[in-house]
Amino acid sequence: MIFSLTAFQWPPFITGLLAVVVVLVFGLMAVRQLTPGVPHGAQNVMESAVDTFQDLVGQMAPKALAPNLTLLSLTLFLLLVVANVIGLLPLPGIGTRWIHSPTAFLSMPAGLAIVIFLLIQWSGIKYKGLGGFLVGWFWKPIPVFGVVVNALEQLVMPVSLAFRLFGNILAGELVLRMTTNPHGLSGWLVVVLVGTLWLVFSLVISLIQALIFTILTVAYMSIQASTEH
Amino acid sequence: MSSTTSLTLGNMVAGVLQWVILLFLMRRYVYKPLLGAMQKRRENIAKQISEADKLREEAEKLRQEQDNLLKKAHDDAKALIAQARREGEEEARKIVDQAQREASYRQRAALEEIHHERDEAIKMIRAEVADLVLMATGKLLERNIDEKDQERYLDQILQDAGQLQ
Repeated sequence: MIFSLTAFQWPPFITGLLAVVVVLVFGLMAVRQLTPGVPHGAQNVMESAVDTFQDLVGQMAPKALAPNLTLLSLTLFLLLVVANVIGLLPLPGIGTRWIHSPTAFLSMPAGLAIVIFLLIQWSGIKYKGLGGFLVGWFWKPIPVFGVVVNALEQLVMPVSLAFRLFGNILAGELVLRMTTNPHGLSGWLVVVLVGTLWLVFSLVISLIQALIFTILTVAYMSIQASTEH
Repeated sequence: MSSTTSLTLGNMVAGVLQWVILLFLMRRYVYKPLLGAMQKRRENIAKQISEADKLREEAEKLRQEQDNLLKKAHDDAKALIAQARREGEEEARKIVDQAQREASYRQRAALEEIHHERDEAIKMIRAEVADLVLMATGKLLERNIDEKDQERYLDQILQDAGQLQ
């Protein structure tokens, strides 16, 4: 793992933009023929998604946080779903390489996780007050030394978020490359049997990982925002 | 050489910015109108439900009223029929009574007339018989009896005839 302040990777940036555009286009399709009557097509799908996330967030988050957190998490989920699937599409890559998902690069999940970590701390301060927030950090479960446990707990959140998503998507793509390469280790039979199965499996994984990342974000923020601990 | 496992600050920031920009655009152009439409639908449905409730209540009230009216009409009709029957019966009784009265009157009149006629007939026959008897007696006696005798005989004969009767 190399950390670089100056280097920039164009492929994940471009595929990330592609994901943004795809989500945005779908969203605009949903409101193109907006009606308060019976919704059709994209509007129906989008309304279902909004409804689902309103329920999901409403169960966990405090009332004041819920509306904003709903939109934030829904956007995150849509972006991640599209981003995760990009690497599974048979798009022609540069040279002979396939295109990776932006989430198959560590940078994007890590960047998101860091911002989410900050959001978690922010919701703690906002809903518990600075005093309650500091007590939570330094005085629970034991005075002063509690900070060690809490720091570990709080830092594990973004790290696990980032690596879970990145690892799952990258692994899925790498196994897909191996099982769908008829010139390599596997013959056509393996491509048809294992490759197809793995593609379906990876699609499901893409969806599940996007959902896990989003739900955990909502849960972490809600827990930190809840006054009783 | 970049690899998928390398952490680059630029890409981290870019990823976050992509999310934030998408959130901003979606919020402005998609969520707001969509949530507005959903809210409006919710209000419409609530309004329609309350309207339907009101209409149902009104319909119930109308039905009640019509039920009452129908019941009243039914009762009225029953009363009318009963009255008509009572009147009819009375009328029939009156007619029958009158007919009976008339019949009995006619019968009485007829009887009286019959009696009268019979008396007349008897009287006539008596007179005839008296003449005949007188004539026959006169012829038999071959002599004219005077008025006084005639009267006496006639009375005698009539008395006899009355006793014969």
